[in-house]
Amino acid sequence: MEYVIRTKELTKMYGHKAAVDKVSMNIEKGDIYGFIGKNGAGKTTTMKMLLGMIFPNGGTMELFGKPANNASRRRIGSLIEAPGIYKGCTAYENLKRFSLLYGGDDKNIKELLELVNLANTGKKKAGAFSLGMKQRLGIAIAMLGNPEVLVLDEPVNGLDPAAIKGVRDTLLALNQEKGVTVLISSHLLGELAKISTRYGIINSGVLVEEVSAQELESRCRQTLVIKCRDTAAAETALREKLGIAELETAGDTITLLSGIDRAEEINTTLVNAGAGVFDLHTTTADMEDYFIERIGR
Amino acid sequence: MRRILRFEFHKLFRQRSFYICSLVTAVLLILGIPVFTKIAKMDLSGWEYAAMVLSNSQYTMILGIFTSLFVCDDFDQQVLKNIYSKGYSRKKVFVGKYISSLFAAGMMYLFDIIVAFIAGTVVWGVGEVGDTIRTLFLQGLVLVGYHAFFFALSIILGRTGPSIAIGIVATTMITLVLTILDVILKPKKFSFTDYWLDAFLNNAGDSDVKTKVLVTSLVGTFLFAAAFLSVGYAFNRKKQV
Repeated sequence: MEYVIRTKELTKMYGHKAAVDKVSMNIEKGDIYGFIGKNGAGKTTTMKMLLGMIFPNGGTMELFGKPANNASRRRIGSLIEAPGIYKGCTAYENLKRFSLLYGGDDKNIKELLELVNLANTGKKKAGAFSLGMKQRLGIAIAMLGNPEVLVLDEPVNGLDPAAIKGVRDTLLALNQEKGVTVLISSHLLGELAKISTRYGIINSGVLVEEVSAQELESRCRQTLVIKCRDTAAAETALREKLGIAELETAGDTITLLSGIDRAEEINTTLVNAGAGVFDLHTTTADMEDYFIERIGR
Repeated sequence: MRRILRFEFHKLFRQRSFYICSLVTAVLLILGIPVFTKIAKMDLSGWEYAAMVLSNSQYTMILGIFTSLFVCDDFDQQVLKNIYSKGYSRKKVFVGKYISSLFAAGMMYLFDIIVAFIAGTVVWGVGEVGDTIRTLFLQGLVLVGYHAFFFALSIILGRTGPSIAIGIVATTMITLVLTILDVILKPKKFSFTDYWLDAFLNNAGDSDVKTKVLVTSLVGTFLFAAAFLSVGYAFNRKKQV
């Protein structure tokens, strides 16, 4: 496996508090790695350490298979927190300035302006841009010089649905056509689910889990929800007559975690037991539920 | 380093404050002429007025303002993270900013000399060159110390407003503190105020100054510059964005 980003026990302390606590993450070439966690979980801090913006207190970082250094960071484009832009300059001038550091020519700049839908902003200063326009300019800056890896921290914050789709399509195209690896954090789990091939779940500075999209899909389990008037009778019948032990009862609702494919048999049994069933349906736990289960509310 | 310098110089030549500050010093120089002709009734020359460029253009104060505006811009606009995250070391960024802002300081100084010379020549005539070039050169060297002071302050504070305010107040405050030290401690063989940039600048502009004093002033200037830059660099090295 070819890893483009690897950390081992990466740690960042602020005073006695660990903002990032021994995080060992592995991002393979070609991944779109969704980095998920609550506010203050350590996502941005981890990304900043990878990019050399802040210094770790412990652990190691590898970029492109070698210890992280400035040369390897040249191959990465990033957008961390609010985009760093010159507010007194136009979108073009911003890209022009950064192209002197990042690489990229006028053609590249114009393509990027088209891509993020800022080609028609003319002489309008970036300071007068809307939040979404600034964010899009930040994304364009990150893409300057054709980076091999993109590190994007909440890149779709403040964007309207059309712009979010635009960013998503762009990232997918870059990933599929140019093999660009993407490390992306977002609060919009549904958005991440549409593009991520792998996830890292971080909570209170600790990387709780790394999971592939396929694994995650299989873990988002189906459940059978039964609503009835006599849950005690229903529970007894389910356990004793059908041998179903994986169930949870709350109020008038019983949720079955197993035996989902036996819905007809369950219904007959419960009717015969006089449980007074008035609703029976299957549900699939979505990604959000899964993450909430992993990181707590 | 080449890329950093291209980036910094590209910014410099598009920085409005560079042109505005240069223009302000030039206007102050021109406005200063009636003070000499009408009030002081002095008869100068183009060369003589050029030699007085620093005192008549409020150059050091404007230098402090410009340096803060130029250096702190990247901090204020959170642009430094774009630069560091792209693998440019803090050392290179520091050196790039230092070189470009020092170049700007030199350009402003040169521009002011030319303006003062032309304005003075129009009013009084060219006159004799005398010690003017020597004076301007030596004072230019002392300005390296002032620039280092303002540069380090901007790097440490990282915010335009506080850098300008403290920069303007600090140079006066330091002289005041040194004067108070002289008054309180009454040193017999030296004076504290003689070992600060203001005194060095006066010495550099004095054509009758003793060689030993001049050398002390220049060495002192470079020691101050080295100290300011070292402190600024130490802060910058640890700065997290």
